[in-house]
Amino acid sequence: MSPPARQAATLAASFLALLLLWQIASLVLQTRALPPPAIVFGVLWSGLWSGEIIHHVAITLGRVLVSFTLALLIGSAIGLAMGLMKRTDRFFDPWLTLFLNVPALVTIILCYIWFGLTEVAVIVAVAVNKIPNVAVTMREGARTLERSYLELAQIYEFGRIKTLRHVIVPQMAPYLAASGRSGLALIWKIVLVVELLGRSNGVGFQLHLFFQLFDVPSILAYTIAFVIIVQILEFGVLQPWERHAGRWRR
Amino acid sequence: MSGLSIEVSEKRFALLDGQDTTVLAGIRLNVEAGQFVSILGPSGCGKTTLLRLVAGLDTDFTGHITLPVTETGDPPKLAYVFQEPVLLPWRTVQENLHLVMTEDQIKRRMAGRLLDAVGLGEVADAFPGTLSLGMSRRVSLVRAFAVEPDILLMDEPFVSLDEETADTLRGLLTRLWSAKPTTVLFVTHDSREAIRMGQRVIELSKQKPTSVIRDLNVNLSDEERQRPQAVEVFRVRLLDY
Repeated sequence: MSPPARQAATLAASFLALLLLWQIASLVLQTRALPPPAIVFGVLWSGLWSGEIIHHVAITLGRVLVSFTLALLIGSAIGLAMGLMKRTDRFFDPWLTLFLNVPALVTIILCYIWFGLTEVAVIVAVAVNKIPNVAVTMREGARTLERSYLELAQIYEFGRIKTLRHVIVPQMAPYLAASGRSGLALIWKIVLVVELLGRSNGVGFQLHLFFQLFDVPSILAYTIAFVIIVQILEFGVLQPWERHAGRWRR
Repeated sequence: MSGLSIEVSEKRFALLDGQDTTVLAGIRLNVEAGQFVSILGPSGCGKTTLLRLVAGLDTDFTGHITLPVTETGDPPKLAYVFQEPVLLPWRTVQENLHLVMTEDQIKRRMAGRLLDAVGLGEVADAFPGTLSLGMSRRVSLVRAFAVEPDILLMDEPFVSLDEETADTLRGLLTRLWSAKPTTVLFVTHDSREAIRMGQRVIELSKQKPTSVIRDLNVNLSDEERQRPQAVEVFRVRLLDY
């Protein structure tokens, strides 16, 4: 077998093994709390056809993308400033430590109290949770910026935008990718909690509903739908971008 | 265009133990427009520091540096050839050149013509990581000339190359410079190189703080500069007694 084919085979075997384990567990336990895969995938299938799952997943995904983008932009700006300027770093470092340690639930509740049960509250709550993590990663990245490249930009009068685009961002690419990857994983989990606490649509709201109805197949169906979406983002967007950004490396 | 005037009364550096030391003191130089000046001095004497002051990369010193004013009254265009090639590894050779050039220079295909002139036409689309050190140095020279600078600052641009490659590049630099004479400050620790390249050699002292100990005009013809013996005779006569 060729190496790619072998890799694909391993991946398929891994999935099958997981499904098998799940099937056996549900057969042994015989409980409503753990339905077999066939039932869950049936619910997923009909939910997709009726458009209900797609509707709620799309809403959640929209919230994820907006807050993800905001967190990445603001976090990067803060991280860069702190990494490049010593005094800024010393001044804001305690703030960063503070925000890193505020529990997500506290931010969410406070945002709902301050901004009401609105979309703004959702976006702010999620972004505030993620910004400190991005800032810390990007600060590390900014500290590794090569001084000679910055001097090159100064001598040849690149200006701010050109320096950012051609000198800084390419050096920060691995840190951006790391922030993006951990961000995606963290943010969609936080968004679900936010939806559970104060929204009337989205995956988090649906999960809350199914929890009250004790509808485990639907809970699992939504989970699977969302995991698939995040995987598509990882393989379809993040990894191709990383390959493109790193094409100069031999 | 007016010349370049450098006056560094004092340049101090902070040491690790909290004290500081004076690296440069009492340096006064006037360079005519279009003159090729070699700055010669032993390693660690502060040549690079002096060049960085002129380039404006370091502004923390006592003294005054007046860059020439161009005929149009614009600030002069600077180019700097660093000790290392300093090419952005994530941009191709051509992108590296285009980044420093004006729209007009890009339209006139300066990058391609200069690359062809130095025998690198083939690698325009290559990433710098695939080039040898000699090739990277050539690209970095081309970059400096591509901006058509009013002042060209060079910091040991041929160090750590084998002698043959270094000599080819010296010839190349002479050719590029003759095509468009530019004010050049060329820093080196190699007296032969200083004489071969410069119309004028300024020697800096070994003792700290560094100052100018010799300022000589090199009255050798282009043809004599090519001959190691002629350079050697000049060197023995003027630098070593």
